[in-house]
This record gives sequence, structure tokens and C-alpha cells, in this order.
Amino acid sequence: MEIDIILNEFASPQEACELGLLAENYGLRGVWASNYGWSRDPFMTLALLAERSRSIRLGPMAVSAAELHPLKMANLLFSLNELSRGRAMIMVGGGGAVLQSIGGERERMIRHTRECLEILKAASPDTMLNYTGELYKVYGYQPRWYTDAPPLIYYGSNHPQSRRLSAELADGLITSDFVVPLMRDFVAATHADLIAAGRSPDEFRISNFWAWHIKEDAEASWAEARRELMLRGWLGEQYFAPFLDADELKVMRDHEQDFLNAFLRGTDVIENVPPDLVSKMIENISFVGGLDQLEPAIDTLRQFADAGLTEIALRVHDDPAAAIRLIGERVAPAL
Amino acid sequence: MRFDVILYSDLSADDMLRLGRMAEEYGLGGVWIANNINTRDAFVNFVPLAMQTREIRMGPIAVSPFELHPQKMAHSLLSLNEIAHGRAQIVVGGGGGTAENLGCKPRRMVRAVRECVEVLNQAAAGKPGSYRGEMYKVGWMDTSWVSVNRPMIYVGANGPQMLHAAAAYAAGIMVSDFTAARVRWARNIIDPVLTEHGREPTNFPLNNFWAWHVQESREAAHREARQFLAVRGTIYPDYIGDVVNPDEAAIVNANISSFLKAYQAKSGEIAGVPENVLDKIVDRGTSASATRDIDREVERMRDFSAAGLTEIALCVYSNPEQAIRNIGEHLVPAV
Repeated sequence: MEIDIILNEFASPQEACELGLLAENYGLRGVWASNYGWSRDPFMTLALLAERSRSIRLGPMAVSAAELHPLKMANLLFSLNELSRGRAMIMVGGGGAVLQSIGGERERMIRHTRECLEILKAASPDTMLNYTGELYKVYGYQPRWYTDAPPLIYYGSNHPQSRRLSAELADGLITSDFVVPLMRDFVAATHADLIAAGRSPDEFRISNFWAWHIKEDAEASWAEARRELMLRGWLGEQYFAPFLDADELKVMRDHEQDFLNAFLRGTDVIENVPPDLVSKMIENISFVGGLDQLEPAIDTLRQFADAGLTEIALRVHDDPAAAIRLIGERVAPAL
Repeated sequence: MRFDVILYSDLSADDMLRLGRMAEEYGLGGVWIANNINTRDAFVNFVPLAMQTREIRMGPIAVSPFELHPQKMAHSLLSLNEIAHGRAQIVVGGGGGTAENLGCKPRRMVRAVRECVEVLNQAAAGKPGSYRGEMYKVGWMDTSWVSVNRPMIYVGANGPQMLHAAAAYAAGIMVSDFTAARVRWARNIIDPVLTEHGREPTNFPLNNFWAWHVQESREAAHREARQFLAVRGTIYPDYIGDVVNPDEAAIVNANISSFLKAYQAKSGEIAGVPENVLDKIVDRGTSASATRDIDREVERMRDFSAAGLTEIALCVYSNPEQAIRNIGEHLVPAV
């Protein structure tokens, strides 16, 4: 199993370049740039790295067709791919922070993504594309300069419908915040979908977005994890059900606003929720703690690999360079 | 007068870097790339040039809010601007080929462009906030990472309504294929609005997209110019009277399809239009002199300056190196 790094949304092109080159030096597979309403353009964030790096893959995560017309997405992606000499990738999503910030609606997400994937996959330097979908149209598209190895196109898929679409049209899928038992079932279902679609599971990439908080300073690690906990599966019950009982799930659900407040205020204080429950949630759905937690993290990563992941995307937060160094020096060699 | 160059839109990032550096060395003010669906994304493609130059401005021309949501446009522009240390520029237009290729039917263009520029300006100021226009909404935008000088934001305007509106709010205006007389006409529209808004007309950036076909011989120059007449505003009913008499204009009007055929066939043969009429259109509506007669073009630039242009963007076609050299050696020092 290979390792990707997801950079935080505040990374500048210069920082992304430095962090990406650091990751490349450790032999990590790829770097993802987060896409938020308050971040820089994620394609541009990676453009410096694309030009200066040699082997690491790079791409934005996640971009929705509803926020960016698939043809504009194609030209951005293929331009990044050319700058990186065939190392670009993208995770297409159904809708997210940017879509919300531009006042878009999360409607017909599967249809949006289907048409987007069809356009991205059909683009060719050799034949002119004319596409008339229900939602998107493209006339006379033929990027003759798009001659590098095609970028990898992932779909962010946590549900059966999106999983089936990924198996039909994408090069891979990326789940988010799936614990090992969930991942095992999802991979098995994905392989079945691929076979049903006439594709070999061997040629399909499966990754999982997973939060990395481990630091030398264990308390700082826990504080960061508490602050970000709201974003873990957006507290969807299905992500926590494998390790929380019914009463604990109810407390979590009843206090969603308290988790959100901590995130929005940038504090690690989650009011009105028992600390033991918070710790249990964090321990199970992210990597947290001091350096003594590296070995348990490596063990979990091995379980993810056994479950069938081809790669994992580790989301780093504060002090990303320190996190990449830990991952590069202590984790990657152990897998 | 500032001289910019518009490079042909199918260039690679490496070619843009080479030509952009050459333009900078010759003292040109900016490099533009025409926005076209079959070309690389202009923002990403400018990154190497942004990294390896110090003075020259750069940006796409023209991007429409009908093809790219203003917030997405803002993030791409500001990301490029950050890499270029404040030297990004853009022309925002109301329609264009790309929007048509996406199956978009622009409506309320004057309003759309205005709202787009307002979003860009708000983003460029780096102040977090929302935007609620009639056509575009931004729920929340936080570009507090902006730390360099603002990018230059032009409005692409040819018609009286767009010129009048843009003069009230735009940082600059770019017209296209305007003769000196037509520039005076535009000044008569925008200068009173500028004055009304407390802005000094003589300082207001007015640029003109102008075709540059100067070649070794007049024949070669005319042959190239004729091939591209279909994409010159000059041949269409609102403007043809600027370069030929009414009878000749009627002939041109009746044979527009011949211009389109010549453009598609990359030919200088335009059936149904007499040679002397074509010569007038090319001589008066483009710069298509022989190199030895370049003083004619110097005079034309002086006329433009006297008419009220503060900048001109010369669109170069074959042999861009030679074009940049001619512009740098003959026009820049003289006007």
C-alpha cells in the first residue's frame, strides 16, 4: 500500500511545492491539495510542485462538476498533467465546501458526476468531442496538446451508488474516514462492482482519506484532533457505529452543534460532551497521540492494506512538514 | 503607451516562458493568452512564466462568468497573482467562444460582468465576506491569504452599453479591433462616466486588442491577416463601416461565410470579396505591413495614443519571436 499526503487548505503554492518535494524525497506516492471556498485554487496550488518535482503524483481534492464545468476541469487537469509530465490526478466529488460557498445546490450529484467522468474520460487529442448530456454540453473539444499519460481520475465515494459509478467510469475511488471493518466490506463490494462492470479489480485504485494527528507533543496532537473531530465523517453515524454503542452514538448526535462549535471557533474544547467519548471517537477514527502511537498506526495501516487499499491518503494538519517527516521516516518504510 | 503581446493560445508553458521572457527583455508591459476551449488552462500555463520573470504582467483574455463562476475565477486569478508577486491581469468578458462551446447562452451580459468584477475585487481585497448579486452569489469567501498587490482587472467592452457601464466600475477596459477613430468614439462614451465618478480619464487604462501581422513582405503579411479576418470584429456590421464605404460594407456583409471558410481552411482566399476591399480591411483594421515599412505601424500607434489608448495588446501569429523583436525594437522606443 502506498501513501499520499493531503495538504491543508491554507497551503500556498510555495508551501505546497516545499512539502511535496519533501514527500517526494521520502518516496511517498502523491500529494493532494484541499479545495475549499477559502483556499487558493487547488490546481494553481500544485502548479509549482508540478514543474519542479520528478516522481510524485499530485492533484486537487475534491472538485465538483457543479462548481466547475467538466470541460474547464479537463483543461485545468490536463494542464497540470502536462506541467507534471503525466503525474496529475484528481478526486471528483459530488459537492462540497466550494459548491456551498458559491450558492450551489447538491442536487442530482450522481448525474453531475457521471457526466463529468464521461467528459474527462472521453477527452482525446485525436478525436473531437461533442457531448450532449442532461446537465452538461461540450461542442468541438479536441485538446491536441493532451498527449502525456492520462491523469488518474478518482471519485470520492462513500456510498453504494457512487461506488458503482466509480467502478464503471473512474480509475479509482477514495472513501473518507472509513475504519478498517467498513473498509473491508466496501472494498469487497467495489471488487464485485468492478467485475459486474467487466473490469479487473487489479487495475483499480482504492484509497481512504484518514486524519493524521500524531506529533512529538502528544497533548498538541490530541488538541488538534479534538478541534477537527467534527470533520470526521461529518459525524455520520455509519462511520462511528463500528466502535460506539447506541447510547454513545445518541450523545454524539445530540451534541453535533458542540462539535461544530469547536471546529468553527478553532478550539479543542468540545463543550457538553464527555471527554471519554471524545477520546474514544478520536482514537478509532484517526491517528492521534505521541510518537508511541506510531507502531499502532502502522499496525492499522497494515490492516487497511489487508483490507484491499492500494493507497491511503493521510490528511496532515498543523506543522505539515513535521508530519511528512514522521510518515516518511517512520511509517512508509515499515509498510 | 504600453505595449502588450497576445500570444497564440495553443502554446505550451515552455514556449510561453521563452516568449514571455523575451517580451520582458524588450520592455513590453504584458503577455496575454486568448481563452479558448481547446487550449491549456491559461492560469496554470502561466505558472513557469510567473516564476521566472520579474516585471511583465500576464493573464488570460477574456474569461466569461458564464463559463467560470466568479469565485472560481477569483481563486485562479489570485493564485496566479500570488505566484507572480502581483503581476497577474485578466480581461473579463461577457460571452465568447468558450461559453458557446459549453452550450451556455449568455444573457444579461452587462450585469453578469459587473457582478463578476465585483466578486473579483472583493476577493482581491482579501476581506472575508459574502456577496449577493442578482446573478451570482458567494456564501462565504475568505481570501485573507492575499498579500501582494492586486491583479489588474479589465473589462472586455466593445458596445456602448458595456463601455458605459464598465467605465463606472472597472480598473481598465480592453476593446478589440478598434481603429483610432473608433477609439475616439469609445473615449467619448467612457470619459464622461469616468469624470462623473471622480476618475481622471487620462490615467484610465484603455487597451485595444489589435492584430499584428507584420512580415518580411506585404504579401505575406496580408495573406496571414486575411486568414484571420473572421475573428476580427472589424468585418461585422457594427464595425465594417470603420474601414470601407457602405457599398463595400454590403459586399462584406453578404460574404461573411467566405471569411469563416478561409479561417477554417487556414487560407487567405476569401471568395466574393474584391481584392481592393480586402486590402482596405487588412490595411485599416490590422497591422499588416512589410518589415521595411514598419514606420507605418509606428505612426498608427501614435494615432492610437493620440486617440486615447494608454495601452495596446498586439496579437501575434506566425513567428512570434520576430514579432516581439519588431515591437520591442521599433514601437516601444518610439511611442
